[in-house]
Amino acid sequence: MYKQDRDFWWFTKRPGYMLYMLREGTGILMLLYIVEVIYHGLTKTPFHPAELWLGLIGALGHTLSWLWLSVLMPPLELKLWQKTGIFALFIGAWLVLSYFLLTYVYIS
Amino acid sequence: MATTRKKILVQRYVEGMEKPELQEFELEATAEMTVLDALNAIKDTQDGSLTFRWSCRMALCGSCSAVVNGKPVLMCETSLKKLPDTVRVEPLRNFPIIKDLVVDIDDAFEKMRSVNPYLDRMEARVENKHLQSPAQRKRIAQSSQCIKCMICYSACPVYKVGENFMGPAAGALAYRYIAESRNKKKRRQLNAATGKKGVWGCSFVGECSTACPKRVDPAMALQRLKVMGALNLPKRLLDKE
Repeated sequence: MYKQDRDFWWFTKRPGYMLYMLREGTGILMLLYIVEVIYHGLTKTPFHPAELWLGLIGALGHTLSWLWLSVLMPPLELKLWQKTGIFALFIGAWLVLSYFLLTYVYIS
Repeated sequence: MATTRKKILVQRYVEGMEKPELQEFELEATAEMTVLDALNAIKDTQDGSLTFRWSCRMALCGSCSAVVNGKPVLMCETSLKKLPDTVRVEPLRNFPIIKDLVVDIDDAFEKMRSVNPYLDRMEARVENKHLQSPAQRKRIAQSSQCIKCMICYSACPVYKVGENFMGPAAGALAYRYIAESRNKKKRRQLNAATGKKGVWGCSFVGECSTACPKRVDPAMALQRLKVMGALNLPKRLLDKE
């Protein structure tokens, strides 16, 4: 038998590829943001504005790319408005959590 | 009958060759011809050694899956008139090639067997009852459509490199039986699907669902299994069996 090589470059030409990489990349930004929030909260050190932007870009980019990827895929049982609502709730929860962490954890 | 001249490039491989090679064929294609029809015409009139799997010709059996112009499809439902004048036909990716377009799919079937895909309900056999409501049936309808064509395995970028990943079709099959209302002993199947060689290799690329010709949405099944596996973890840790 002939063992085929992995054709990685095929995947890079697919419509969802860049979106997939965006999703994964912004996910890493979000993780960094969480670590920074915990760090600044524990050490009572000030935030740099760039760190807040990091969190915002990571959260919104990650969430929106997941939303878009779900739309590109064949529909699940959820309707589009239901999926949009779920992600809107996610964004809202993320912003609330960020506000809580930044104000109460940092200030106290 | 009006015909169009098509150039069909087919990947050929026979044991002993250093690597596969493309062979060019030309034929007059009618408007109704599919890629499978073209290969059969080539086999009948030009090269009888051309080897490929096919059976039902109506997208039910899953035998004729191949990569056509870079996309994994069922050849019997891929119309030639919707393709350019040059058509490139290659075997499914991620599987070893036996000959020409025939690949070895034993690994994928082994992964499907590993999820124990059967109903386990001894008392119903005695009572001869398998009652199921329409809503319960609907829950597994989509996952039940899988025809084991392996197109999802060919589309999955993780399957090739993730030895511990069960793959999309196995995930859909596992979900089909775990979500089955008539299945009363689904713990073993859930443990198999969410164990070390289960769903966790999936990074939700979604190409399996995009490529699936029966709209099974294996990506959905895999993500739902992940949720089930996470919720099942405390029980699994406490399970002394």
